[in-house]
Amino acid sequence: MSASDLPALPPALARRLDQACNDFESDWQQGQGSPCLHDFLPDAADELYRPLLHELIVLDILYRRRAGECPKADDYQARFPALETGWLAEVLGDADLRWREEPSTDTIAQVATLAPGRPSGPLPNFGDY
Amino acid sequence: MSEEGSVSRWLGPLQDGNSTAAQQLWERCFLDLVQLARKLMRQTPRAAADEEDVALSAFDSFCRNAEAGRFPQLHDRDDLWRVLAVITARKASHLRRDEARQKRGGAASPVQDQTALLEQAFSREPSPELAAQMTEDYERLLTQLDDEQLRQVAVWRMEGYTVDEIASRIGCVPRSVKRKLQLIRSLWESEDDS
Repeated sequence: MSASDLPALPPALARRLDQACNDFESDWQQGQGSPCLHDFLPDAADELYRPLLHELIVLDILYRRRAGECPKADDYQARFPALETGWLAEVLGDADLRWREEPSTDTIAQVATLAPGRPSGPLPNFGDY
Repeated sequence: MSEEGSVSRWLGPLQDGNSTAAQQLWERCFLDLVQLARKLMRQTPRAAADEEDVALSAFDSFCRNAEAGRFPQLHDRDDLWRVLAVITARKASHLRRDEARQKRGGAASPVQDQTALLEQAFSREPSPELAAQMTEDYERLLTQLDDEQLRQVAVWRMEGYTVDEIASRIGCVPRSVKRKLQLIRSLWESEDDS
């Protein structure tokens, strides 16, 4: 998987990760600048620590770019020295993590959403049949 | 190489008739297709082989039509899965229909014409039996989500809203919608395994 892919977690961990990210995002939206990532992280020994740290950094990058900032690797490496340098570089360079305002215009085949385990969603026109 | 990257890598060669690409994609999709077929046929007791047959048949149809250039916008894993899911749903629906006919003493259905199949598969309106199946699955899956926002995200997604559109509706970044969709899938999968 690529560095910016969402981690596949068991439901209990996925719930905790989602809740922590919701809280982090909510703080960002208060308009008081970048929240402190440490405030949202469990103990380093917690199995959620690493996936949550990664996801919070991804969100932080997205929101900082939205705010017109240009986040750098040093911003995170300084606070989290154990952070994998390669992972951070890949995430910062991931074009998919640019802030996008424009909505997609595609449509959907509903049946495709009924299958857990795969991304569900729009069914574009795949040609004439 | 990431799974996303590896899938995207094989889609081009597949459309050029590369059998290795077909094998690689089959290995990546097989379990998901069988799982989908199982869901679509869950109302009737059957052998596991039936689900695998449906998955194999769907993948075979997909490969032949991909080779024929009928999927010009097939670029990545998401595109692949959408097409495979729709074809699999149609195959499962046809199998159920054929079995019902046989139980009534009718002759077995002739082999489906692949072009006609795709015309049906990509129509905007599902058949009555597929619509009924979808409704049942829809309601069952929603009851498994105990969080109102998760239910809302699932509903919007199934109603056809894009990730970006849902993000705008709930006031978050698209990334967060993807995270919630992944949580939803995780919850649904855990229910399936229990």
